[in-house]
Amino acid sequence: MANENDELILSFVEEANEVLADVENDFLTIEEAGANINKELVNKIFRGIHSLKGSSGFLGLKSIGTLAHEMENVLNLIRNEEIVPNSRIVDPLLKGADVLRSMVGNIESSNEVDVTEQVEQLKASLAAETSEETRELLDREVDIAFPNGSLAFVMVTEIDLVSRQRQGCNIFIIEVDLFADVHNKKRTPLEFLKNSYQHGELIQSYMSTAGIGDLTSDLPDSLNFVILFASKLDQKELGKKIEIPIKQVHPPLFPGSNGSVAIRSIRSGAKRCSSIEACPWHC
Amino acid sequence: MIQTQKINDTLMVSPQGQLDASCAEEFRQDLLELVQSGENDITIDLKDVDIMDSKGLSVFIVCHKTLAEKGGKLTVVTDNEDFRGLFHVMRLDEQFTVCGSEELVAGSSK
Repeated sequence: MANENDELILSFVEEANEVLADVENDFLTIEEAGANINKELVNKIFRGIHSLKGSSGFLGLKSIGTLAHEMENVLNLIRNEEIVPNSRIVDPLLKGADVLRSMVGNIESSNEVDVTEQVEQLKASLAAETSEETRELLDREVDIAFPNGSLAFVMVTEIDLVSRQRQGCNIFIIEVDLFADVHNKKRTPLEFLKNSYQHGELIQSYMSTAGIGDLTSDLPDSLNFVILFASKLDQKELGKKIEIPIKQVHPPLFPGSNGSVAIRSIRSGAKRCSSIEACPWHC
Repeated sequence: MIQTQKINDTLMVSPQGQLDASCAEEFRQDLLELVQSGENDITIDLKDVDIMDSKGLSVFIVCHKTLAEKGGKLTVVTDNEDFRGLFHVMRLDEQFTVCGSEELVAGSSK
Protein backbone atom coordinates (compact mmCIF):
# COMPACT_ATOMS: atom_id res chain seq x y z
CA MET A 1 0.00 0.00 0.00
CA ALA A 2 1.41 3.33 -1.00
CA ASN A 3 1.80 5.53 2.04
CA GLU A 4 2.57 9.20 2.32
CA ASN A 5 6.28 8.56 2.67
CA ASP A 6 6.35 6.56 -0.59
CA GLU A 7 4.74 9.49 -2.35
CA LEU A 8 7.27 11.88 -0.88
CA ILE A 9 10.11 9.63 -2.01
CA LEU A 10 8.66 9.44 -5.51
CA SER A 11 8.40 13.19 -5.64
CA PHE A 12 11.98 13.46 -4.36
CA VAL A 13 13.21 11.15 -7.13
CA GLU A 14 11.40 13.28 -9.69
CA GLU A 15 12.92 16.47 -8.29
CA ALA A 16 16.40 14.91 -8.13
CA ASN A 17 16.19 13.74 -11.75
CA GLU A 18 15.31 17.26 -12.81
CA VAL A 19 18.19 18.76 -10.83
CA LEU A 20 20.68 16.21 -12.14
CA ALA A 21 19.43 16.14 -15.75
CA ASP A 22 21.94 18.56 -17.27
CA VAL A 23 24.28 18.95 -14.38
CA GLU A 24 27.37 17.42 -16.04
CA ASN A 25 27.12 19.80 -18.98
CA ASP A 26 26.56 22.67 -16.58
CA PHE A 27 29.66 21.74 -14.56
CA LEU A 28 31.74 21.63 -17.74
CA THR A 29 30.38 25.02 -18.80
CA ILE A 30 31.32 26.39 -15.37
CA GLU A 31 34.82 24.96 -15.64
CA GLU A 32 35.30 26.44 -19.12
CA ALA A 33 34.26 29.87 -17.87
CA GLY A 34 36.79 29.67 -15.03
CA ALA A 35 37.07 32.90 -13.06
CA ASN A 36 34.63 34.55 -15.46
CA ILE A 37 31.80 33.00 -13.50
CA ASN A 38 28.23 32.72 -14.75
CA LYS A 39 26.52 33.36 -11.42
CA GLU A 40 23.07 32.58 -12.71
CA LEU A 41 24.13 29.09 -13.76
CA VAL A 42 26.10 28.36 -10.57
CA ASN A 43 23.22 29.60 -8.43
CA LYS A 44 20.78 27.41 -10.34
CA ILE A 45 22.81 24.27 -9.59
CA PHE A 46 23.54 25.41 -6.04
CA ARG A 47 19.82 25.85 -5.36
CA GLY A 48 19.03 22.44 -6.85
CA ILE A 49 21.66 20.58 -4.82
CA HIS A 50 20.76 22.60 -1.70
CA SER A 51 17.14 21.55 -2.11
CA LEU A 52 18.12 17.87 -2.55
CA LYS A 53 20.18 18.08 0.62
CA GLY A 54 17.22 19.49 2.55
CA SER A 55 14.68 16.98 1.22
CA SER A 56 16.99 13.98 1.67
CA GLY A 57 17.55 14.93 5.31
CA PHE A 58 13.81 15.10 5.85
CA LEU A 59 13.31 11.69 4.21
CA GLY A 60 16.18 9.95 6.00
CA LEU A 61 18.21 9.48 2.81
CA LYS A 62 21.52 9.87 4.61
CA SER A 63 24.03 8.98 1.89
CA ILE A 64 22.40 11.30 -0.62
CA GLY A 65 22.22 14.05 2.01
CA THR A 66 25.86 13.69 3.02
CA LEU A 67 27.14 13.84 -0.54
CA ALA A 68 24.78 16.66 -1.56
CA HIS A 69 25.92 18.68 1.46
CA GLU A 70 29.57 18.43 0.46
CA MET A 71 28.80 19.32 -3.17
CA GLU A 72 26.74 22.27 -1.95
CA ASN A 73 29.75 23.55 0.01
CA VAL A 74 31.94 23.53 -3.10
CA LEU A 75 29.25 25.23 -5.18
CA ASN A 76 28.73 27.81 -2.45
CA LEU A 77 32.39 28.81 -2.59
CA ILE A 78 32.30 28.97 -6.39
CA ARG A 79 29.25 31.24 -6.38
CA ASN A 80 30.87 33.44 -3.75
CA GLU A 81 33.99 33.66 -5.93
CA GLU A 82 36.17 32.22 -3.18
CA ILE A 83 37.47 29.52 -5.54
CA VAL A 84 37.96 29.37 -9.27
CA PRO A 85 36.23 26.31 -10.76
CA ASN A 86 39.22 24.60 -12.37
CA SER A 87 39.41 20.88 -13.10
CA ARG A 88 40.63 20.07 -9.57
CA ILE A 89 37.38 21.56 -8.26
CA VAL A 90 35.02 20.39 -10.98
CA ASP A 91 36.18 16.76 -11.33
CA PRO A 92 35.01 15.75 -7.84
CA LEU A 93 31.71 17.54 -8.53
CA LEU A 94 31.26 15.49 -11.71
CA LYS A 95 31.97 12.26 -9.85
CA GLY A 96 29.65 13.32 -7.06
CA ALA A 97 26.84 13.99 -9.54
CA ASP A 98 27.41 10.55 -11.05
CA VAL A 99 27.10 8.84 -7.67
CA LEU A 100 24.07 10.94 -6.73
CA ARG A 101 22.32 9.93 -9.92
CA SER A 102 23.09 6.29 -9.32
CA MET A 103 21.74 6.50 -5.75
CA VAL A 104 18.59 8.28 -6.94
CA GLY A 105 18.12 5.49 -9.52
CA ASN A 106 18.18 2.89 -6.71
CA ILE A 107 16.61 4.95 -4.02
CA GLU A 108 15.55 1.97 -1.85
CA SER A 109 19.17 0.92 -1.31
CA SER A 110 20.75 4.37 -1.46
CA ASN A 111 21.59 4.39 2.25
CA GLU A 112 23.79 1.32 1.74
CA VAL A 113 26.06 3.27 -0.62
CA ASP A 114 29.32 4.38 0.98
CA VAL A 115 29.98 7.96 -0.18
CA THR A 116 33.12 8.45 1.92
CA GLU A 117 35.45 8.48 -1.08
CA GLN A 118 33.46 11.15 -2.96
CA VAL A 119 33.08 13.24 0.19
CA GLU A 120 36.81 13.04 0.90
CA GLN A 121 37.65 14.05 -2.68
CA LEU A 122 35.35 17.08 -2.43
CA LYS A 123 36.83 18.05 0.93
CA ALA A 124 40.36 17.63 -0.42
CA SER A 125 39.63 19.85 -3.41
CA LEU A 126 38.44 22.59 -1.07
CA ALA A 127 41.35 22.13 1.32
CA ALA A 128 43.76 22.67 -1.56
CA GLU A 129 42.11 25.89 -2.69
CA THR A 130 40.83 27.61 0.46
CA SER A 131 41.89 28.51 3.99
CA GLU A 132 40.48 26.69 7.01
CA GLU A 133 38.95 29.98 8.12
CA THR A 134 36.95 30.21 4.90
CA ARG A 135 35.77 26.60 5.12
CA GLU A 136 34.60 27.11 8.68
CA LEU A 137 32.35 29.96 7.52
CA LEU A 138 30.37 27.51 5.38
CA ASP A 139 28.82 25.91 8.43
CA ARG A 140 28.23 29.09 10.37
CA GLU A 141 25.06 31.09 10.31
CA VAL A 142 24.30 34.49 11.70
CA ASP A 143 21.16 36.45 12.50
CA ILE A 144 20.94 40.02 11.26
CA ALA A 145 18.96 42.75 12.98
CA PHE A 146 17.72 46.24 12.21
CA PRO A 147 19.36 49.06 14.21
CA ASN A 148 16.45 48.88 16.70
CA GLY A 149 17.39 45.27 17.47
CA SER A 150 14.45 43.52 15.81
CA LEU A 151 15.45 40.63 13.58
CA ALA A 152 15.57 41.26 9.85
CA PHE A 153 17.14 38.02 8.58
CA VAL A 154 17.79 34.75 10.37
CA MET A 155 20.42 32.09 9.76
CA VAL A 156 22.30 33.79 6.94
CA THR A 157 25.35 31.72 5.99
CA GLU A 158 28.38 33.73 7.04
CA ILE A 159 30.30 32.98 3.87
CA ASP A 160 27.64 34.91 1.91
CA LEU A 161 28.51 38.03 3.93
CA VAL A 162 32.24 37.63 4.40
CA SER A 163 32.91 36.94 0.71
CA ARG A 164 31.25 40.22 -0.23
CA GLN A 165 33.21 42.05 2.44
CA ARG A 166 36.43 40.54 1.13
CA GLN A 167 35.47 41.94 -2.27
CA GLY A 168 35.24 45.40 -0.74
CA CYS A 169 31.48 45.59 -0.28
CA ASN A 170 29.46 47.03 2.55
CA ILE A 171 26.42 45.13 3.77
CA PHE A 172 23.10 46.94 4.23
CA ILE A 173 19.53 46.14 5.18
CA ILE A 174 17.26 48.17 2.93
CA GLU A 175 13.60 48.73 3.76
CA VAL A 176 11.54 49.50 0.69
CA ASP A 177 7.87 50.41 0.59
CA LEU A 178 6.77 49.32 -2.86
CA PHE A 179 4.23 52.13 -2.91
CA ALA A 180 5.88 55.14 -1.25
CA ASP A 181 9.37 54.39 -2.62
CA VAL A 182 8.60 52.68 -5.92
CA HIS A 183 5.06 53.21 -7.18
CA ASN A 184 4.87 56.89 -6.20
CA LYS A 185 8.16 57.46 -8.01
CA LYS A 186 6.65 56.06 -11.21
CA ARG A 187 8.68 52.87 -11.06
CA THR A 188 7.60 49.24 -11.22
CA PRO A 189 9.10 46.78 -8.69
CA LEU A 190 11.03 45.23 -11.58
CA GLU A 191 12.51 48.57 -12.61
CA PHE A 192 13.51 49.23 -9.01
CA LEU A 193 15.23 45.83 -8.76
CA LYS A 194 17.05 46.19 -12.08
CA ASN A 195 18.36 49.59 -11.03
CA SER A 196 19.48 48.18 -7.67
CA TYR A 197 21.44 45.42 -9.41
CA GLN A 198 23.48 48.17 -11.08
CA HIS A 199 24.80 49.20 -7.68
CA GLY A 200 25.43 45.95 -5.86
CA GLU A 201 24.17 42.50 -5.16
CA LEU A 202 21.06 41.22 -3.46
CA ILE A 203 21.96 38.54 -0.90
CA GLN A 204 18.52 37.79 0.50
CA SER A 205 15.15 39.48 0.51
CA TYR A 206 11.50 39.02 1.38
CA MET A 207 8.22 40.79 1.28
CA SER A 208 6.36 41.15 4.54
CA THR A 209 2.74 40.28 3.83
CA ALA A 210 1.54 40.41 7.43
CA GLY A 211 -1.33 42.81 7.94
CA ILE A 212 -2.35 42.82 4.28
CA GLY A 213 -6.02 42.17 3.67
CA ASP A 214 -7.69 39.75 1.28
CA LEU A 215 -9.81 40.06 -1.86
CA THR A 216 -12.74 41.52 0.07
CA SER A 217 -10.96 44.75 0.96
CA ASP A 218 -9.35 47.47 -1.13
CA LEU A 219 -5.84 46.73 -2.34
CA PRO A 220 -3.10 47.79 0.10
CA ASP A 221 -1.29 51.10 -0.30
CA SER A 222 1.86 49.93 1.47
CA LEU A 223 3.97 46.81 0.85
CA ASN A 224 7.16 46.23 2.81
CA PHE A 225 10.06 44.68 0.95
CA VAL A 226 13.25 44.03 2.94
CA ILE A 227 16.60 43.47 1.22
CA LEU A 228 19.98 42.32 2.46
CA PHE A 229 22.29 44.05 0.02
CA ALA A 230 26.02 44.20 -0.67
CA SER A 231 27.41 47.30 -2.36
CA LYS A 232 30.70 49.07 -2.82
CA LEU A 233 28.86 52.34 -2.29
CA ASP A 234 28.44 53.88 1.14
CA GLN A 235 25.07 54.30 2.81
CA LYS A 236 24.43 57.78 1.47
CA GLU A 237 25.55 57.08 -2.10
CA LEU A 238 23.54 53.87 -2.27
CA GLY A 239 20.37 55.52 -0.97
CA LYS A 240 20.74 58.20 -3.62
CA LYS A 241 21.38 55.77 -6.48
CA ILE A 242 18.44 53.52 -5.70
CA GLU A 243 16.24 56.47 -4.63
CA ILE A 244 15.52 55.17 -1.14
CA PRO A 245 15.63 57.56 1.86
CA ILE A 246 18.86 57.09 3.79
CA LYS A 247 16.92 56.39 6.99
CA GLN A 248 15.72 53.17 5.33
CA VAL A 249 19.25 52.02 4.40
CA HIS A 250 20.71 50.46 7.55
CA PRO A 251 24.07 49.06 8.45
CA PRO A 252 23.26 45.62 9.89
CA LEU A 253 23.50 44.55 13.50
CA PHE A 254 24.69 41.05 14.35
CA PRO A 255 22.98 40.22 17.64
CA GLY A 256 24.71 36.82 18.01
CA SER A 257 28.18 37.56 19.40
CA ASN A 258 29.80 34.66 17.52
CA GLY A 259 28.70 35.95 14.17
CA SER A 260 29.59 39.53 14.85
CA VAL A 261 33.10 38.70 15.99
CA ALA A 262 33.84 36.55 12.95
CA ILE A 263 32.42 39.02 10.48
CA ARG A 264 34.12 42.06 12.00
CA SER A 265 37.50 40.40 12.27
CA ILE A 266 37.44 39.33 8.67
CA ARG A 267 36.08 42.65 7.49
CA SER A 268 39.27 44.32 8.65
CA GLY A 269 41.25 41.89 6.49
CA ALA A 270 39.51 42.79 3.21
CA LYS A 271 42.10 42.12 0.58
CA ARG A 272 40.83 41.73 -2.90
CA CYS A 273 38.61 43.89 -4.98
CA SER A 274 36.69 42.75 -8.01
CA SER A 275 33.58 43.99 -9.70
CA ILE A 276 30.38 42.42 -8.51
CA GLU A 277 27.99 41.18 -11.09
CA ALA A 278 24.49 41.70 -9.83
CA CYS A 279 22.56 38.51 -9.45
CA PRO A 280 18.79 38.48 -9.24
CA TRP A 281 18.66 34.74 -8.64
CA HIS A 282 19.81 34.68 -5.03
CA CYS A 283 18.97 31.63 -3.01
CA MET B 1 -10.10 42.63 -19.00
CA ILE B 2 -9.78 38.96 -18.13
CA GLN B 3 -10.45 35.76 -19.99
CA THR B 4 -11.32 32.61 -18.09
CA GLN B 5 -11.25 28.96 -19.00
CA LYS B 6 -11.94 25.89 -16.86
CA ILE B 7 -9.22 23.25 -17.22
CA ASN B 8 -9.86 20.16 -15.12
CA ASP B 9 -10.37 21.48 -11.58
CA THR B 10 -8.63 24.79 -12.00
CA LEU B 11 -9.99 28.01 -13.42
CA MET B 12 -7.45 29.57 -15.76
CA VAL B 13 -7.62 33.37 -15.59
CA SER B 14 -5.73 35.39 -18.18
CA PRO B 15 -5.45 39.12 -17.58
CA GLN B 16 -4.61 41.16 -20.67
CA GLY B 17 -1.97 43.82 -21.17
CA GLN B 18 -0.99 45.88 -18.16
CA LEU B 19 -1.54 44.73 -14.61
CA ASP B 20 -1.18 48.10 -12.96
CA ALA B 21 -2.95 50.76 -10.92
CA SER B 22 -5.28 51.52 -13.83
CA CYS B 23 -6.94 48.11 -13.62
CA ALA B 24 -5.72 46.27 -10.52
CA GLU B 25 -8.84 47.11 -8.46
CA GLU B 26 -11.04 45.85 -11.28
CA PHE B 27 -8.97 42.66 -11.46
CA ARG B 28 -9.37 42.20 -7.70
CA GLN B 29 -13.16 42.59 -8.06
CA ASP B 30 -13.23 40.05 -10.89
CA LEU B 31 -11.27 37.55 -8.80
CA LEU B 32 -13.51 38.18 -5.77
CA GLU B 33 -16.60 37.42 -7.88
CA LEU B 34 -15.01 34.21 -9.15
CA VAL B 35 -14.17 33.07 -5.62
CA GLN B 36 -17.64 34.02 -4.37
CA SER B 37 -19.15 31.95 -7.19
CA GLY B 38 -17.34 28.91 -5.78
CA GLU B 39 -13.97 28.84 -7.56
CA ASN B 40 -11.21 28.00 -5.10
CA ASP B 41 -8.51 26.66 -7.43
CA ILE B 42 -7.37 29.57 -9.59
CA THR B 43 -4.47 29.75 -12.02
CA ILE B 44 -3.46 33.19 -13.23
CA ASP B 45 -1.69 33.05 -16.58
CA LEU B 46 0.53 36.06 -17.26
CA LYS B 47 1.27 35.28 -20.92
CA ASP B 48 -0.59 38.39 -22.11
CA VAL B 49 0.73 40.69 -19.37
CA ASP B 50 3.69 42.91 -20.17
CA ILE B 51 3.76 45.39 -17.29
CA MET B 52 3.12 44.80 -13.60
CA ASP B 53 3.38 47.56 -11.02
CA SER B 54 3.15 47.44 -7.21
CA LYS B 55 -0.64 47.57 -7.30
CA GLY B 56 -0.76 44.69 -9.76
CA LEU B 57 1.63 42.67 -7.64
CA SER B 58 -0.52 43.18 -4.56
CA VAL B 59 -3.47 41.45 -6.26
CA PHE B 60 -1.59 38.13 -6.09
CA ILE B 61 -1.01 38.53 -2.36
CA VAL B 62 -4.63 39.25 -1.50
CA CYS B 63 -5.91 36.57 -3.88
CA HIS B 64 -3.61 33.99 -2.27
CA LYS B 65 -4.83 35.05 1.20
CA THR B 66 -8.47 34.59 0.28
CA LEU B 67 -7.93 31.25 -1.42
CA ALA B 68 -5.73 29.94 1.40
CA GLU B 69 -8.40 30.92 3.95
CA LYS B 70 -10.90 28.83 1.98
CA GLY B 71 -8.55 25.86 1.61
CA GLY B 72 -8.08 26.61 -2.07
CA LYS B 73 -4.95 27.46 -4.02
CA LEU B 74 -3.45 30.03 -6.32
CA THR B 75 -1.02 29.16 -9.11
CA VAL B 76 0.74 31.73 -11.27
CA VAL B 77 1.96 30.73 -14.71
CA THR B 78 4.56 32.75 -16.54
CA ASP B 79 7.46 32.09 -18.88
CA ASN B 80 8.68 35.65 -18.37
CA GLU B 81 11.99 35.25 -16.52
CA ASP B 82 11.74 38.81 -15.14
CA PHE B 83 8.36 38.10 -13.57
CA ARG B 84 9.56 34.77 -12.18
CA GLY B 85 12.61 36.49 -10.72
CA LEU B 86 10.34 39.11 -9.15
CA PHE B 87 8.11 36.52 -7.44
CA HIS B 88 11.26 34.70 -6.28
CA VAL B 89 13.00 37.77 -4.88
CA MET B 90 9.82 38.76 -3.04
CA ARG B 91 9.60 35.14 -1.80
CA LEU B 92 6.01 35.04 -3.00
CA ASP B 93 6.84 31.75 -4.75
CA GLU B 94 7.06 30.24 -1.27
CA GLN B 95 3.46 31.22 -0.58
CA PHE B 96 1.89 30.08 -3.85
CA THR B 97 3.13 28.11 -6.84
CA VAL B 98 4.82 30.04 -9.63
CA CYS B 99 5.66 27.93 -12.67
CA GLY B 100 6.32 28.03 -16.39
CA SER B 101 3.72 26.94 -18.96
CA GLU B 102 5.58 23.69 -19.66
CA GLU B 103 5.69 22.76 -15.98
CA LEU B 104 1.96 23.46 -15.75
CA VAL B 105 1.24 21.12 -18.66
CA ALA B 106 3.51 18.42 -17.17
CA GLY B 107 1.84 18.81 -13.77
CA SER B 108 -1.73 18.64 -15.09
CA SER B 109 -1.05 15.54 -17.21
CA LYS B 110 -0.12 13.43 -14.14
